[in-house]
Amino acid sequence: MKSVLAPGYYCSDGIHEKERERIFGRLWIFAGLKSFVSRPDGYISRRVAGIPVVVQNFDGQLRAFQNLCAHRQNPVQPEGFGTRPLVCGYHGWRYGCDGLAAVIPLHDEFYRFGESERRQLGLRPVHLREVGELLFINFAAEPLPITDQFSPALMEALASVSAAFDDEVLVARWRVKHNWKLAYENLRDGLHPRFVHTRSLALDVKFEPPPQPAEAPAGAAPTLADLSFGGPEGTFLQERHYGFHDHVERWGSTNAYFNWLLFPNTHVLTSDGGYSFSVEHHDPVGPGVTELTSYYMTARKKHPWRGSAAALVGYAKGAKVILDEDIAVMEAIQSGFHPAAADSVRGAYERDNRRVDAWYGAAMGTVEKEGA
Amino acid sequence: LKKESDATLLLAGAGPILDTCEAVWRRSQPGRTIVRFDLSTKNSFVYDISPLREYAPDRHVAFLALGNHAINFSRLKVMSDIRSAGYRMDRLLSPLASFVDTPDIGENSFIADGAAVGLNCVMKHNCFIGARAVLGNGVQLGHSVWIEPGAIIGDGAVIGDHTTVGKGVVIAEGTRIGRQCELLIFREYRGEVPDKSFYLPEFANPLRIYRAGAD
Repeated sequence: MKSVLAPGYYCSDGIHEKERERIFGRLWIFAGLKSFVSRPDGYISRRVAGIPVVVQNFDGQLRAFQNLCAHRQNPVQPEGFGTRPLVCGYHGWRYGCDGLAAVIPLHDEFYRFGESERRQLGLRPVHLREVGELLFINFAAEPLPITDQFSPALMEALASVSAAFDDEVLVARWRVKHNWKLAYENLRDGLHPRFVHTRSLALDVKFEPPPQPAEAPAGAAPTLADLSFGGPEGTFLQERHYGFHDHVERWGSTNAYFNWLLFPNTHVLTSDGGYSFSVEHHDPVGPGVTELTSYYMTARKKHPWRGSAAALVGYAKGAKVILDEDIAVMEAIQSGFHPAAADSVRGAYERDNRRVDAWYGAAMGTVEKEGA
Repeated sequence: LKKESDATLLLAGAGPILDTCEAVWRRSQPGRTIVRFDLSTKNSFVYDISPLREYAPDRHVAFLALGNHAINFSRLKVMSDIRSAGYRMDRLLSPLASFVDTPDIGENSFIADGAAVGLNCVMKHNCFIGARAVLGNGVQLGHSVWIEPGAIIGDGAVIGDHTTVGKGVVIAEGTRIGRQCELLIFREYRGEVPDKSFYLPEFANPLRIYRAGAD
């Protein structure tokens, strides 16, 4: 059956803008790890679908705002992570927990805002939720309940697995030349590892696409919460023991490759049954450009261990081999897209992708080829 | 105690760097007795130094030549184990290296052929300065810093403990490089490079390791 998403959905500026409004402007989007803002004045500053966002620790309380100073729209925090009060470097405006400008240096001499105007000067707030150690933000004025997006069972699993994350985290960034949706269609495709990762992942792990009914029951429109799921997905063909395993508290005891896919654009995994983890986040920069941020960490250390940085770098290098194989395919697909290209097709095993197609199409309000 | 230069040298290590150091030792001190130990390891982190214990610490001096720069802290740990066993550690300055004055060099440091060291440089224990590397004036190296051949470290640069500077890399004058970094991409580095930054050829962007609450 044909995909309901025509090639234009992957290469059109108009679709990209519409996604910013209807997908990234409405849903809960991964913003970072709580450990990065665990201390007072700790902050995460990044862009989400092009909008600069800051998550800031105010004496233990976490708050999120658009990272644009009310004065001249200068980013208040520099992009990245660190520990710094929420003070704009341009003219020294300092913001408090409520997002309002608590201090405007030299106000009475140079600005002279009226009292009521002065009281309203602040950063635009962004809703923030914690799911275990994962932070999610939402730009909507009245956001949907996060339980509409992630089922209670999934949130429980995420809280459990993320509680095992160590607080030493390696961060890697890539700018890839493909649409963000391709990455998740690929991750929901349990068949691809045996073709794309023949010399890497498929040597160690066997993935089986879950058995699928040929057709979804008529009228069973997917809910938003259906689009995010996860658990053990692959079995190890051979078990490997690495030195760092002895230094960490393993999460669980199941020898399996676990994936959790959080719609729209976050992937949590443990590829070694709970000894190490990664979180991948694909942020759309343009229709054909995506910023991929990967966080790598081991399970919590049993004791301080000086080899941990070397272990994380080794882990990142290994993960990159697999990522590069996927990215090469995604970029090749992207390079062939043009508005008049033929539609792709979805097989019976691609139920999860068909569900996402259907929900996405309805949310975007323009997909009319449902079930073609 | 014998003078370090007279005492029998226990030269321990593994890999090509051990061969390099042995050649430089024999060239620089042809009359000195050198006993070589190829250390065994199961994981490149922990090395077995027990063979040295047959030689009395009060009559022998040791030098450790390990080449795995990715685990510079591990090299320092092995050196500390040898010192804890009671051995003094020697320094190896190639006669083919050049010095403007007598640098302040920590134990078990090695300066290879053709390297050039400027005025008032300080390098702590267990540093490796590769062939033809250049250290400008007033350069400060922390413990277990690894400078690969041909690298150029500008005047006044400061490099943190356990950091590796790759082949031919240029560190601009006054630059501060943090601890446990790997600068393996051939380019010039300026300003400040935070702790645990990894510039690796496999990655277009640098990797950073963050620890909760630490910058």
